[in-house]
Amino acid sequence: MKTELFDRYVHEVGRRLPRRQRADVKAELHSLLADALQDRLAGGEAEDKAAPEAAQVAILEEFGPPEKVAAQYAPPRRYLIGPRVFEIYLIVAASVAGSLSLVFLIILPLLTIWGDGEPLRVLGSYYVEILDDYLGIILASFGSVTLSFAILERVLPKSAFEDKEKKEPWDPRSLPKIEDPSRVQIGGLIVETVFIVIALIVFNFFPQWIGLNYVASVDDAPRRWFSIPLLAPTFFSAYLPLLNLLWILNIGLNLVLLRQGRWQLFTRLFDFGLAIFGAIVCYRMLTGPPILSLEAITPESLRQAFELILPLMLNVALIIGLVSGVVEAARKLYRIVQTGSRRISA
Amino acid sequence: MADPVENLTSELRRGTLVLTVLSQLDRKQYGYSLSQSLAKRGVEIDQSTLYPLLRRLEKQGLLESAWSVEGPHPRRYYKLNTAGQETLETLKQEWFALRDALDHLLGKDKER
Repeated sequence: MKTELFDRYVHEVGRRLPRRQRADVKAELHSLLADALQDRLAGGEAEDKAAPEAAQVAILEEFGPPEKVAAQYAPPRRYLIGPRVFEIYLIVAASVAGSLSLVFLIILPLLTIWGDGEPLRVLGSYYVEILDDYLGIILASFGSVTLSFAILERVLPKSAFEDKEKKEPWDPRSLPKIEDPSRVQIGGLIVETVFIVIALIVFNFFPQWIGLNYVASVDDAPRRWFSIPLLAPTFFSAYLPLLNLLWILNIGLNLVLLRQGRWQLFTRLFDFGLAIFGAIVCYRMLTGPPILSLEAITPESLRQAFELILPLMLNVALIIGLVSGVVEAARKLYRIVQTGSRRISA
Repeated sequence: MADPVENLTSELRRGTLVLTVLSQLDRKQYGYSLSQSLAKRGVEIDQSTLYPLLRRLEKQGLLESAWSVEGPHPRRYYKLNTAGQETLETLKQEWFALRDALDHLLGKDKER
């Protein structure tokens, strides 16, 4: 008999439990639910026999919502920020991170680029000053948000969210479907492939687009369009062939995945290899010949500002790329090992 | 706001939960059979409370458990171990003493 609702329920309970007790509790829950269903169908009401899903719903309602059951199984924890407010905390923290990034990475550079004369110099130096303090600003912002929520966690009465929960009875039919980890996320792959193709075209055929493009007036002349390429010749000789290879291999993998619709061991291994390759390319770009050539930037004040800012921003981006590449590779390797061990145990 | 009497009653019952469960595990039982046998004796325990409690008692070293494939599907059976039996005896003595004291306080002695 299909017990899909039970499977979804056990999955939902399991994902809320610590990893070390998850498999055991899930096995026991399956067994208990099967006992309850067997009992209900054997001695139970006629409508249950005709509609096993209704019987599953009735049993799950008796068991209670997955979060309640999981909370009973999991050992008591001490929280800085507990589950009641954690989702709101994540939203606020993400908003703070988004606002800081918007200001620092987009608005200030734009103002710096679009300005001219004195305001440009002022903005440029302001930007450099902020750069020094940026880490401090990030830490202070997240510290304040975290502290506020830690206080909220302790100040809010336990009943703060209870009334809302009681008004909305739990419906087992609303349990989310179990995600198949091997199924390919088609939308994401298509978007990724489109962006890679755009990068391939731009870097290989329109490299002049990667530079400073702005409108300004110099020495009281009418405002005109300036286009200053930023990439150094060494970028095209040392790095672009590697990036091209990485992008083409990535497109190839995405096309295979889109065709197959599911991850296989081979595609997972290939994906892992690409993550390592990407991290190596980042490392080479970080330690190799210069990527940027800023000599052509005029006026002088703008060039000085960019000489301070751009290499630093690029290095930060490459370090983030390198670290996330390594983390991503480790995650992919873990998934390969996990899939392998699941296959062996099956 | 929950009814205070309801809260106090459930608190009172919660205090007897461990003793209730231990008292039924002198022979091996799986979770669902225990829940049913308690219900038949008029003790209704939420399933979301009972099953995790069994695991907690096992973790505390009072129960032992083992999977068995005798039935239509695998089941986990629980049973008192030696420490559990000793704990049960102690709790029973405590319970009887408490019951007598409360009977006295509540005036049951006078009714007899």
